[in-house]
Order: sequence, then C-alpha cells, then structure tokens
Amino acid sequence: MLVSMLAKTTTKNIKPAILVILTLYLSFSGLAYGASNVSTIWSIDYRFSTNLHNSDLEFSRFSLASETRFSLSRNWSAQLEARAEFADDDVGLGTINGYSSLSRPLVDKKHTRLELDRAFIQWRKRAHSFTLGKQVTPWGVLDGVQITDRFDPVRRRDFIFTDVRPERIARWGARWRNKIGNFKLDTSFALDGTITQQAEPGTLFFTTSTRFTGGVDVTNTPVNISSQNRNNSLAQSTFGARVSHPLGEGDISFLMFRGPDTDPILSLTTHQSINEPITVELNYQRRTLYGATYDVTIGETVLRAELAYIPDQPINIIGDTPLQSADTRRLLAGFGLDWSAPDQWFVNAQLAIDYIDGEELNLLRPDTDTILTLRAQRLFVNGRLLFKAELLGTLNQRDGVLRPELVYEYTDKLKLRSGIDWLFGDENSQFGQFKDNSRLWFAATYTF
Amino acid sequence: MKYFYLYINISLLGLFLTAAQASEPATSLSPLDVAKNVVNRSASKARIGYMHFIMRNKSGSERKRSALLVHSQEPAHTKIGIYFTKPAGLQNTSFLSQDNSDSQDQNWLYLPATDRVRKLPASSRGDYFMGTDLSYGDIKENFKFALEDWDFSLAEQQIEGDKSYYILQGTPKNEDIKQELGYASFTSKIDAQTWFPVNIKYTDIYNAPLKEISILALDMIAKTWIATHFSVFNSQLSHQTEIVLSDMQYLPNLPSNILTADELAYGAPLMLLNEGE
Repeated sequence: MLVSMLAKTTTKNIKPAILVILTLYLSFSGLAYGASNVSTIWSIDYRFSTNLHNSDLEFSRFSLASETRFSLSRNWSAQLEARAEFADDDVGLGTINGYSSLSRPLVDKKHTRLELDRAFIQWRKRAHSFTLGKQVTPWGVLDGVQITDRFDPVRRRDFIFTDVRPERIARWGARWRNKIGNFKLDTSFALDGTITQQAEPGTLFFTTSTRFTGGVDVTNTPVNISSQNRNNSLAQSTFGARVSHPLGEGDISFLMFRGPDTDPILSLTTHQSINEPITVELNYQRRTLYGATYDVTIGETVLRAELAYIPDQPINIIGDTPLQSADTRRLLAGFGLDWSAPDQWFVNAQLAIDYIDGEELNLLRPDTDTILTLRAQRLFVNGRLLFKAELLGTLNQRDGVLRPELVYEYTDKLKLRSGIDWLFGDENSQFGQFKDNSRLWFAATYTF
Repeated sequence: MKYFYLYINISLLGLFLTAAQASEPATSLSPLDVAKNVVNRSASKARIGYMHFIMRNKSGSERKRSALLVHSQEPAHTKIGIYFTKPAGLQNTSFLSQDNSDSQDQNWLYLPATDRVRKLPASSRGDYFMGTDLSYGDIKENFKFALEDWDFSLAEQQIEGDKSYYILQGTPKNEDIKQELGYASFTSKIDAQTWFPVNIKYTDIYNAPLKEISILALDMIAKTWIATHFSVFNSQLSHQTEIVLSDMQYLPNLPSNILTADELAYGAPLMLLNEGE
C-alpha cells in the first residue's frame, strides 16, 4: 500500500525534481573542483500517519534532501542544501505565495516541490566571519519556544509537529560575526521579503482558530486568501544585531531587530467580487523586537531565560467592521531548565508568558497566554533506541498536545520512528483546533 | 692480554650496573611514587586526529562512529572537541567539553538541524561518554590516576621477559569522590618503562567488578606516548567499546579560538590536520 501510494505520488513528478537537482549540482561543480574537501550527506525520508479517531491514512510525504559542504581554503567555505518533496492533496506542501521571487522553490508543482534550503559562501578568520547567501539567523537560547528567536520565517504547514522546532526558512542576505575582547557582535541583514509558510486551505493543519483568522469563522464562512507581493526586498527586509558577553558562569546577550512579523494579520482586500467568497489578505507587517537572553550551567542543570519587548506588535482586533487591526505592545518572557537526571534521563522544562497590551482594545486572544513545555528522554538498547515524550500546552486555555515517540536506529544509516500526537482542548484554541487530527505516525529515514 | 681482562671487567661492571638499574624500580618506589610517575608522564599540550569507536553489546550488535578529535590540556582546563564524520546521520554534529579546575565545567553541542550551539548540563565524572563504556572521568584523566582522588597501594611486581610491571591499586579518598567517580577501586598493571597502564580494572561503588580497560597499542607522538588502540569491556552490561585513534598529530600552535562554543557551528577544523607534527 505504501509503495503504491509513494509511486502514485512521485513517479509523475520526480523527473523534473531530479533534473533540477542535477543541474544545481553541476552548476556548483566549479566550486567542488576548487575545494580541498567536499562532503555530501543524502537523506531519504518517508512518513505517514493515521488518524487516531477513524484510522484513516491521512498524511503521506516523501522527501529527498542533500547537504554539501565545500571547504575551499583555510578561510573560505560554502554550503548548499536542497530538498525535494512529494505529497498528496490532503497533506500539502505549504503555501508558497509568501515567498519572494528569489526564494521561491525551484520546482513548485502541486504535488512536488524542490527547494534550496541553504546556499551560502562564508569567509572566516579567527573569531570573525562573513556569510553571504541564503541562510538563517537562529537567535535565542530556549528550545522551540519563540521568545527572541523570531528573526527567521518558519514553516507552519505541519503546525509545530516537525522534527526540529522551529523549522526555519532561509532567506537571502548577509551576516557578519566578530569578537572583540569578550564581546561578541552578530549582525544580520536579510534582504528578502519571504515570510512564514502556512498550511494550505483544506489540508490537515490549516488554521481555523479565530485567534489566528482575525475573528473570521473560516470553517463555516467561505473565504479566499491572498498574500501581499513579497518582492519589495528593502521595505520587507529584516535587519538586526546581537551583542553577547559572559556574565558569571553564563552568557548574556542583548538583541534588536526589525522585520516582518512571524504571524500575519488579516485584512479585507480592496476589491471584493459580488456573489463570491470574501477575499482576505495576509499581511506580515514589520515590527521591532528588543530582547535579552541568558543561559548558565549550574552543575547538572542548565538554566535559560529570554525576554522580548515588541512596541509595535500588529494584531487583529474585534471592531465595528470585520478584520480590524491595531498596533500594540507585546511582552514575552521564557524560562527553561535542562536537567541531566539520574539513570541517564534527560529532562527539559520550559515556561513562557506571552502578554499583549489589550487596554482599550477588544482582543481576539487572551491578553496573557502561559505556555508550558515538558520533555523527558532516554537511550536504551546499546543506544539504539531513544524514548522521548513531550507535553506542550497553554495553561490558561487548557489545551495542548502529548507526544510520545520511539526512535530506533536499525542500522547506522536507517532510523525508524513512530509516535503519537494526541491533541486536546477547546476546538477554537491553539492546539484544540486540531484535536480531530490526533494521529499515530511512522517515519523511516535513510541517511548516507 | 691485560686489555682483554680490562675489557671483560668493564663489561661485567656494565652488566652489573644495568641489572641494578633494571631492578631499581622494584625495590625503591612507593605506591605514591608509582602514581606520581604515571601522573607526571609526558602529555602533549594539544593534539588532533581521528577517533573511530565501535560499540558492541552482548548480542554482538555493533554501532560504529568516527570523529575528528581535538584535545587540549592546560593547567587550568582540559578541552575536548569531537566533530563527527561518520555515520552520515551524525556528520557535522559536534561536541565540546571544557573541564575547568577553577570554575564550572561546560559542555556544548552543535546539531546541524537546529543551526544552533546549545549549552548542555555539565556531566558528572561518572557519567558515560556519548554511549561508550568510558566515563567522562576516564576521558579527562587520560589513563592517569589523580593524586587528590585516590589512596594507593602496590601489589607484587610482575616481570615478564625483559619488562617489569607495577600492579598499582587505588581506593577513593572519601565517599564523595567514590560516588562522583562511580568507582570503589581500581587495579592497574603499569609498564615501568612508559609509565602507561597496560590495563585498568575498576569495581563499581558496591565493589563489584565493573569494567576493564585494555591498552592494545601505544604510539610515540612528539615524544609523548599516546594510546592509539584500546578497548573497554563493561562486564556488568556485557558491553564493549573499542577505540582506534588514527592520524594523531601534535599541535604545537593550536589557535586559541578553535576549541570555543562559537566555533562548533563552523564544523570540523580539518585544516589543522595539515599543521600538526
């Protein structure tokens, strides 16, 4: 069954994807020829899931990814990462109308996509480096909880049920890192208007909670969704800087950046057709974030803390007319703890508070959300079997997800994985909106 | 003829002195002297090379890992950088451990998928090192026995062919050290010429046999003996780790920024391999 599904999904689309990959690698062959060391990792991944409520097979996605590192000289290196994906209609590969022309997937057919994940060249000497190309700027010290880590757009096509959280989208730009004494300065400039990728309408993780839809009940009201043109490189760019310094036994950093928000606000388009569903536009307005992070090792624990202040957070509000918006103040704080527990267990706990100043505004969400994440994991069977369980939830909304997972390293190259995403909560809450999608999933990844 | 007798006498005197010198360690060294000779064994300040380890469990299943290893030892701190090269699923993952004598120990991990260098909880000396049968303490001590941790005694010396071996035994100086190390005692056979252990047998904190480290090959690199092939067998788990070091080089000028957390994200410092001796 799996083979036939895979064949059906891939055969008609795999040829163009392979052709583009080959072209891409041939174009980099000049680099490879000049490099003193080239290493490539290939990864083939297939995953599917069945619904826990009705046992339907509702998710099936195949991907082929490569990562090549070129060591050109003592000071120069380059990196190229590409990913081809194949999926059915119900799964979707995520929206692409939020991409700038430069960052758009190289192949963007309905069931097939080929995307350049990273493509950059890097110069470094001692503690100084300059990176030019398609890259990410991963700031922040917490795990998956985005307090200050909001520089990059992310993929939301699978909500937050990804192997790595957040799953960043690289953009074209430049990054300069240097160290002067004990001060580390990291400056980044993404000259690329690409914004966060959403699930396509009708797919498993298309957002329906009214806090994300500007108050529109998209499950009962037909809407057409459009996005802004993202090709205004300068006006839609993101730029920022971070300064870090040791403090006590830990490290403290202060950062500031300005760029498009990771979440959109919705507005009515200026043209509406009679007898057609209303058309709403997703706007990713620019905002400024000021933040600070601190992490410190204390024996067998690591403590992490982040604080962010956004003075001009764009949000949708409830008003006299639909889809009104306003700018307000937003404060986010997060605390995390890693604990190397007895008997080889590893425990991670994080608490985040997300406050929106709703004074004089009718908010579509609670003014304060309290988010909790708990994770425990341990290796068994000669290190081949990893058991991991995590609980993610919003305490004030009483919604969340429980995610037990087993990862078995069948050989050094083949990993088999299985887990459950069991969602709960009110159907209009962050996690609860997907509770009908609770699932049992399987994945096989071959890396060589 | 008298020159012939003189030659014989000088030769006999030489032989006598050589014999006396060879038997000297057996009679004049205390347990602490032997331990000091092991501790004071020459160690290179910094070295680089590939580390290949095979982990076998009792059913015979094997897991193989290869990594570039950069090791730096200074009076105040020991730094170990491990940059995985195989298998492909682990490639570009790197780990840095910094043991400080005057401040908190620090560990960092770089996972390419997350694009971030992450601070990890400091490991206790008794914790196992990355799924191997070696503890962090074993790695840090580098086949030596810290004088501040152990009380020493000597068993009967062994002579095998033209080689003599000390049998050094140790027990932790107090309960806290025993708990931290995870060992109640060790017994080690030590080569009196290199002051390198040939094997080390440890018992767990309840004094039951725990594991044996066997040194299978030594190489002299920049006037320092380095164990380039050794195995660790945990008898309680029937689990074995075999480690082979290849292309080991002494690094006389290790750049100060290489073994730092920020550098982990840039990948293995392969260029250093061309600069070693």
